[in-house]
Amino acid sequence: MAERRRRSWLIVPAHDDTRVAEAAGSGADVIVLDLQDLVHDSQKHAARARIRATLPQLCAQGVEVFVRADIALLYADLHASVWRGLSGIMLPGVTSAAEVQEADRLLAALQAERGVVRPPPVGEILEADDPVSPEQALELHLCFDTGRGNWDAVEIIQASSRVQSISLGRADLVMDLREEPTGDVHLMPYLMQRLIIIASATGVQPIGAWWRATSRGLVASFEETLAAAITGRQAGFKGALCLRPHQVAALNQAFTPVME
Amino acid sequence: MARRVRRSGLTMPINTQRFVDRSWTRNCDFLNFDFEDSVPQSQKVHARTLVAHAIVQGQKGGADITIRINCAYPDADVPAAVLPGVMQINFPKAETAEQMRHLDRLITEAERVQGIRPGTVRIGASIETTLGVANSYEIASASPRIQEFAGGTGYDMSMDMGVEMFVGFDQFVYNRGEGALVAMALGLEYTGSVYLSDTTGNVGDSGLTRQRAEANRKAGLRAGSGLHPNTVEPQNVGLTPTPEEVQAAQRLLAYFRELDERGEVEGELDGRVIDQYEAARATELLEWSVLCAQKDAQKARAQAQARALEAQTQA
Repeated sequence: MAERRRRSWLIVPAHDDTRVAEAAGSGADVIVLDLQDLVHDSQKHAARARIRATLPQLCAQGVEVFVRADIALLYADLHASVWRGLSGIMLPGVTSAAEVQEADRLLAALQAERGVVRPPPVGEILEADDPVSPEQALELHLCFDTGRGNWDAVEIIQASSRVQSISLGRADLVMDLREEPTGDVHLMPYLMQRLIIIASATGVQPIGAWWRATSRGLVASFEETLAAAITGRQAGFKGALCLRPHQVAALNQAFTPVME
Repeated sequence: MARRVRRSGLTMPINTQRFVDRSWTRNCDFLNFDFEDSVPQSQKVHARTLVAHAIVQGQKGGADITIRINCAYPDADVPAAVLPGVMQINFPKAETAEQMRHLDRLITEAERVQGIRPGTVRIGASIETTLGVANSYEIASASPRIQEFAGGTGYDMSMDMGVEMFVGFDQFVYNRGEGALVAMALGLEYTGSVYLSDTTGNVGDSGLTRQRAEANRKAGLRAGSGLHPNTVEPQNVGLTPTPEEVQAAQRLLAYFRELDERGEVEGELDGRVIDQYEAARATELLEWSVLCAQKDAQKARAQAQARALEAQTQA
């Protein structure tokens, strides 16, 4: 399987055309169309309705596309998302293996029914021949942003072979972890190292950056993002999530392997 | 069970009468009367006869009463410690789930004997050894009486790990993380604290205590404890939201409601991104502020009554 370059994952609300267009020009390796936190309840329907048309447009520009689904609205979100051009689903809030198995089954059914396969790393979109082969199965990226999810991470990852990468997502917000006098976010050094070890032990990619000294509520600058990403790479992360286009270049720079 | 306000608390030997008799004047949220390390072996039996008196003294101050028993003698300690008015039995150096299940059974029996509502006496499990850290999850999930949990730090922990206690960095990163994650995974109240450099080892340093309490409050942590009376007020004050914080939280929530009504998920207030997470944080702060005020009022009432009674007796 060819190596996929996924240094930067930019999350944008699926219904916001301006931000989706900005994302397309940002140089992100992966664009994550959001149906979850960044979409107000009143906009969910509009956001879902956009996905099918947006996927091939972004794909044609050489980006990989994921959709961030809301686990409480899994069926609606996946029904709206499994179309040509999708690489995988990002799933925050996961707390059990059963949830992952359910998502796996639903993806398999939708892929088979619609003849959707994961786009190959480079080139044309394939026609479906074997939607559940490792090459063509849609992926899952799990965000471990709860105490329960983190505690049971190994079992949850192993619930589906579709899980190819994991992150803490927005654990600092979901678990309400705040700044320590040292500048670290409370518990994050422990949680990040734990995630990296678990990722390596289970053979999936750990995604994240070593965000420090917050600035909670402030948007990280290019320099802050670069510093967090470099430390993140040094700690073992293979790419990171971000929410603003200007952070993409910092992630790409930090996570690009230096040629010896 | 309702959320406990336990910003400040003193652990004291139950057999030192002058400490116990003045304990109510300290304005603690809780008092932890000790059977364990602060009581010499020769006094262990005597200590078990002193609980009823300690409860009366402690309750004059409006404090929650907890008793720290010996991990070596739960069978002898629990029947003596579980009396009406005792909120929690603290079990030091907890190492296995079986210890917790045994303790739960002893408390269940003591509740029956004492006519205490079944299941209401809590267990506080202190992690103070490496074996305890390794078994954190099993220990914390062994009894529904365990409502709070934190990772192993402190003197006994450092002794068991064979490291120094007062060094200039956090030697307990893993213990803290493991305890916190266990608490969060099980939905227990997390009673840990942030790391603050302390190379002095002075347990009565009110300045450092205040600093630590403020840092904990800002990190969203709510629990305190102590050994010296100097630590009480710095924690009562340091762990209570300031009026400015309360105002800021109210303003933030009003702003977020407007955003939400407009069908937006985030906006900017004073240069900061406001979203559902900031709103949740502000809501928690307001709730905590109300609980602190209730606890303060309860303590003030109890202490005023006790003072009036004392004045009457002296007159």
